[in-house]
Amino acid sequence: MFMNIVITILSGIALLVVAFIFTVTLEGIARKIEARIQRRYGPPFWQNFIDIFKSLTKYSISHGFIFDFGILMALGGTIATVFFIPAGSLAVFPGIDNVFVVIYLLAIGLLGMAMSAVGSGNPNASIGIGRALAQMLGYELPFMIVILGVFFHHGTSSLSDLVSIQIAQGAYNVWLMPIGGVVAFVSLIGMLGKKPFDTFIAPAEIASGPLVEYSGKYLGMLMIQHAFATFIEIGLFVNLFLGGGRTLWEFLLKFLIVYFSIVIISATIPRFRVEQAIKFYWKWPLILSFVQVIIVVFVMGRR
Amino acid sequence: MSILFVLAASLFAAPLFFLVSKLKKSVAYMAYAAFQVLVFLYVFFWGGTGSSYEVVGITSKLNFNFSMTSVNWFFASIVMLIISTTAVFMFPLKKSPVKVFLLSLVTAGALGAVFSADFLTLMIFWEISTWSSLLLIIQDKEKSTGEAIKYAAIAAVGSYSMLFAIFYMDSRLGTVEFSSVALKIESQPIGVQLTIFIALAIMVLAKMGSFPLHTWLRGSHSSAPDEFSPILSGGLTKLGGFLLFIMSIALPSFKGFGNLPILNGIPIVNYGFALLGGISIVVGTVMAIRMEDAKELIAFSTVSNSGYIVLALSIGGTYATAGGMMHILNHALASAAMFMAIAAVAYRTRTTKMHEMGGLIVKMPVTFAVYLVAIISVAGIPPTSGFVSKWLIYQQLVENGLPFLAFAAFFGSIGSFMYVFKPLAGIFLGQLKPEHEKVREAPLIMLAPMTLLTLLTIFWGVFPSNAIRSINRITESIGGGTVDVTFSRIVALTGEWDSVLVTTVFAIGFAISLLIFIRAKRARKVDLLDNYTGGDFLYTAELYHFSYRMYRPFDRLFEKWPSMENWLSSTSEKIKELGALLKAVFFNRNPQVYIALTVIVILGAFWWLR
Repeated sequence: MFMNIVITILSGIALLVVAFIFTVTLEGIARKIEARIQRRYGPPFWQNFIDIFKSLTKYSISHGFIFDFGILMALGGTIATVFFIPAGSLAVFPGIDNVFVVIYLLAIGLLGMAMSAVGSGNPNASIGIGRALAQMLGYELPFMIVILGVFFHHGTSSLSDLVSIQIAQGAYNVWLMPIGGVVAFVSLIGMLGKKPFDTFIAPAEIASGPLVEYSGKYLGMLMIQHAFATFIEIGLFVNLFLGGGRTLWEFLLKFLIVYFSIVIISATIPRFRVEQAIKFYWKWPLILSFVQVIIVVFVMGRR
Repeated sequence: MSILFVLAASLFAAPLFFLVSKLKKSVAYMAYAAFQVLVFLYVFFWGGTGSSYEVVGITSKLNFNFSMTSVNWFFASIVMLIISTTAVFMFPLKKSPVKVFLLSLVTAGALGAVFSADFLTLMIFWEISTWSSLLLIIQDKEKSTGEAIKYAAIAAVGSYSMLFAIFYMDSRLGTVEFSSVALKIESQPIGVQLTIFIALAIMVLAKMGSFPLHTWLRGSHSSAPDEFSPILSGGLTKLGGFLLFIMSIALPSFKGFGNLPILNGIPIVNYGFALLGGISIVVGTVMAIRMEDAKELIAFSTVSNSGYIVLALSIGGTYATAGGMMHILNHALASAAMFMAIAAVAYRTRTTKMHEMGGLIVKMPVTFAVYLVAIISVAGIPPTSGFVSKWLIYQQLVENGLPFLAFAAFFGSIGSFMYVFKPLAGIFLGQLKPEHEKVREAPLIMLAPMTLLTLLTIFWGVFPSNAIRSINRITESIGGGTVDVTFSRIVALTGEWDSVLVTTVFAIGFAISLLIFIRAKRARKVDLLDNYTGGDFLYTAELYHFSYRMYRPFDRLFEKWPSMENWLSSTSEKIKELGALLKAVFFNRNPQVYIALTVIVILGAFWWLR
């Protein structure tokens, strides 16, 4: 019993450290890739570490209690969610890492961020949050419908169980349900807020939206939060559709491939308007997700 | 002491409170609140101990049957919890003798309805509470009469339909008691079962404010007195849930409709009913997002959540039934808390329009906290009780493979982020309006019941096993399956989760971020006008808070959608025009004509009935 708790705590710490270092490194490399696509030289790949640690040591301004509390809620909720993402062999809570828990626990972070941003009193932030919430209704729906099919087929909604089932049967869900895999990938782009679905950040229109009032340690904490949120969202996709990994390295490799393909796509596409984004998600991804889940329920049946 | 005593006491208390209130209003209100709290404590602590059955004979054939089983106890506790907390909450608000009289009648009616053991008793007491609530709605505000008429019309649709079902049941089965109806209905032909099911279903939809009979909620809530909205939304609409649950016991629709086509393990009638619930979720969500008045917004969120309850209880199955019952509990808590928070704000600021407020968090921090927890529960985020019910309902949707119903459930769940955040941003965040500089926190007597509801929401979010065990007792008593729970874990067919673990992990995450926050340099505090503005100067706080039409881009998507309210009001205009035409053509100024007509009609009726 005692050993179990110690192992859980140690693997939790390991997962946090891996998630942080790996995602922030990838974000740095992504900046480089994006720069090369746009024929710039780009910053060094460790630039994001510099950004985070530097901003944590700088002076900052605060707009009151809710501005601070929302940030704590955002980072706290996101860190809590990371523990429920199994990374290959590094799984903190195998068996009870339910996908619904992950999705809704991640929402605490989102709500905290929204509260803090609107609490700053800047209308740019409020507009950004309004757009982010509206767009969420766009991308989450097809995603949820598709994963309903995944759960129905495999009879479980536990991430680590889904991973072990996929490894055992030797076929990843993306082969079993190719349409669903594509839909989930498109939803993932929206989840990460990458172009063409980055209306809520939109630096040129609304001055980075929710981020407009943050400085110093607040900005640093939000960068950390963003890194963890990226880890959770892509980790969710990798575990659900690409079979997670037998080892940590396999998981990280798949993660890297998914992340860079999204970066490359988003570096080449311009931005949608927010209602265009919602309309887009409610048209093809939603129809295709229904097609996929109907195939799963009525043709493929249970495993 | 027995059920009858409690019921009789609460019926006779109503005129008594009225008379006392004529002399001294505050005494009557205090007595009212004390009485409701006592009734709640009595029901809650006595009712868990056993079951009883009581009959009041009116005539040889007509009886009032009351029972106290785990089902009655569950619903009575929820309804009385909401009513008793609201009774304490309403003390500082505007008092009047008529209001306290009607409020007591509403309570007595609701109490009689949840203790009933036959359909007729249920209906009679339910109508007492409906008619009193109709009169209550028109007490405070001027425009409310039209809204109350809407409510009356829709309530009448439900009531006549249920009355029909009762007469039909009586003529076909010879009984209206829940238990004997359940025994006798199986031998009836499918048409009879279907008729009774649909007639009762209409009553459920009308009273829960579910699509297509949802149009009364918006007007009734926005024009009802602020202290009545929590009772209406948290307590009275849950009576519809009671009837729905009774229907699933008394009319075993899964067996009865088993001969009809079955979709994904659900008979087509139940599937259709669940689809209405699903439409209700979507319509409620979309409309709630578009509202600018906080009370109208929460009224539409009630439509959406009633849809969840209809959906869950009509697809049946172990997890959806448990999830539906859990949802009744947590929506009662959350919507009452939301309405109370808005009422507290309205008590201080005299408005419920979100864009007329802003920045009230500095003035009313406790109200803000209450509202925040309530919306976290409505959005279904752990660790509040809202997540538990949604999780259970999703388990059943996954288990049966129901993508279209799941679409509605997901839509309502994700859409709820949008609409619950709007009052949070509009009322509590942003810049304070200059006219609200002197606003104070709501009085303590309002804060106490609100805080109690908040704590209960969190309690059942962290320890859902406590509530689920009670629900398991109910489903066991009617022979349904139970949800496996341990102290902290809930196990379903497609997975399990650990509520205490989730809460602990969240606390750890919060602690880590707090550590980073404290270790870094202290921030300089600036006011809300010290903003990035692209170089402009700000002087007017009231213009800088962005909340009016916050989701404008989203609104635009739905602008061209058909509106049921517009359709209904244009229909009523047409009927009025027809009436005017008939009046113009046939109106006769001679009274003799009418007397003659009346006499002819009476004679004709007499001849026909002779």
